[in-house]
Amino acid sequence: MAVAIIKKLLRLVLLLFAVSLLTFLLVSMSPVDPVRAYIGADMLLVSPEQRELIEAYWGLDQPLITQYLQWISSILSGDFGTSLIHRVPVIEVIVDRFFSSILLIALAWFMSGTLGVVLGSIAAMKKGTWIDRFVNGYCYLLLSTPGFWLGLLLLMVFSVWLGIFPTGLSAPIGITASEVTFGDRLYHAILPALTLSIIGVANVCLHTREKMLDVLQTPYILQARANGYAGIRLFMRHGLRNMLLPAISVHFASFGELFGGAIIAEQVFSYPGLGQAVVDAGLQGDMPLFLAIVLISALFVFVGNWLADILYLVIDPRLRKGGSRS
Amino acid sequence: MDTILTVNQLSVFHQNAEHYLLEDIHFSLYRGQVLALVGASGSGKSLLAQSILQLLPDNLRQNGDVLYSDRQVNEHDRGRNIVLIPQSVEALDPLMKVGKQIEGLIQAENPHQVMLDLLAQLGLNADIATRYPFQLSGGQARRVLATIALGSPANVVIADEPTPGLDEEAKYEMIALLKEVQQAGKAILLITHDFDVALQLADQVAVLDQGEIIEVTDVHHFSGDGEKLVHPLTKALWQSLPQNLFIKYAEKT
Repeated sequence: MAVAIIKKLLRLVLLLFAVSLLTFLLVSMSPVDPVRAYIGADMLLVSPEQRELIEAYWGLDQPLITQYLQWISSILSGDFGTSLIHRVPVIEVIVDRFFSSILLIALAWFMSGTLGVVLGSIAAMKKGTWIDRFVNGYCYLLLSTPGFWLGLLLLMVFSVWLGIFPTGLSAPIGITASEVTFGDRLYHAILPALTLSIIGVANVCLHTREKMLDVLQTPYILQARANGYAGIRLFMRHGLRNMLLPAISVHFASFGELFGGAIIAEQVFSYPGLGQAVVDAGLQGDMPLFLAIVLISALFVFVGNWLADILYLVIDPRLRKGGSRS
Repeated sequence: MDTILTVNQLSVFHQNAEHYLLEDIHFSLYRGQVLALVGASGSGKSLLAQSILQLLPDNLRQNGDVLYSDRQVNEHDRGRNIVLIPQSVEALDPLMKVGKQIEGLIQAENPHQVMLDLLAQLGLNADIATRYPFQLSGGQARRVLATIALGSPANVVIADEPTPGLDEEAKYEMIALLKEVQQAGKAILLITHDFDVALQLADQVAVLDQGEIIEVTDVHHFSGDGEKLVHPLTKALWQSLPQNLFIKYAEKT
């Protein structure tokens, strides 16, 4: 067990190293000039000599490898640098944005997970009937729906026409941050989370359906049927647990997709989460923030996959008990 | 004698082809007796078990009669009047404890106690009940499969290929277990490719060839040179057993 954990951690370190190196290289090759992005419209007032001084101050005159080593070593000592657009330490921006995003992602994750498993199971148990065809059609329709378009549609219907939900942001306008309640946050997160989960449902549902059909083909289901189990009793007794295992692991592994989807949903709803922060940081050349968010996202997706593995160990007795056939 | 399961003109075919997988199957299983259905692999044996239980795959259809005590078998007979002995440990839910799986088939006031009694009757420790199927040894698994037949209230037991690829010792152990099931008063439809197993257990033997039953005969007719057997293939089957060739050889010299 201890060996497995150490191996996993080693893999995490390697992954983060590779991601950091790759992102750093890509960023340094990007056409965005960090000095110009930092100074903005005042660039005309900066003389070439001043510019060189700024570059020297930031270490941009150093070779790429030195720049990378400097950056990575300060990260290792806990210093993520200062965000150029927010003018506060990167870590503060990330902590603040992370909680907004996590609320959004968690809501979407639970909604799409439950709904997807329920719909997928029903479709599989009723394979070939109109219910199955309806669920399938619904999933394929959603899979071909762009997330931003669905977000705009929901905004139009629920916020503009019906006025049930706010049109954007993560808190009401015109009050101080200390006055914002958790209820306010939740209320603002519902519509973007709905956008994310409506699309997420399709994946979970189709996957669940496929797994459930596999389970229904197994000898133990034939056996259970021969012994008189059918319908909901058969599903609860032998179907659910055997199907849930692969379905859950896929759902955990979908953290990455959700993260990507969150970026789009946050743009549409002007929701100040990590996704919006990373887009701003990328476009405005805020390299410290950008690189840090990329690292955090990689960590987040890795943790999602790891949780799936751990859950397997908890649920599946074959793995839990070492799997030795006597 | 009292018939408990009658199969009459039973055919199984593909939904959209006139190709028959089983054709005009007929036999009667008598209360408390064993009928062995012998056939090579590919002769349609396993489909027979599924069609008796009305559990054919979606793309297959069946017609003809399957009668339990003179009325058509329906889905309510499954587990109550007709039970299937699983072929192997694969037929147990991998994620459910063995005891719980057996209990689910027992219709008694205290299924847990009945289950423990059955395990004891077959010489298994009570702690087997708390194990998962993958933790059973081959011998333990075979006994657990037999408890499913013994625990069920059904009077008809279908044993579909109960000795798949077992070595001699394991095979005889399974035969003994099936005899125990018969002694509990249950009729067994034994579906097997192993002629030897059929001869040791059966009262009647039906021979299946290419989806058709070519002969149903009393097990005692398998004796001598097989002069009481009607169909040439049945005779050939009997004469091909190693011990018979040996007898012939011994008689000639």
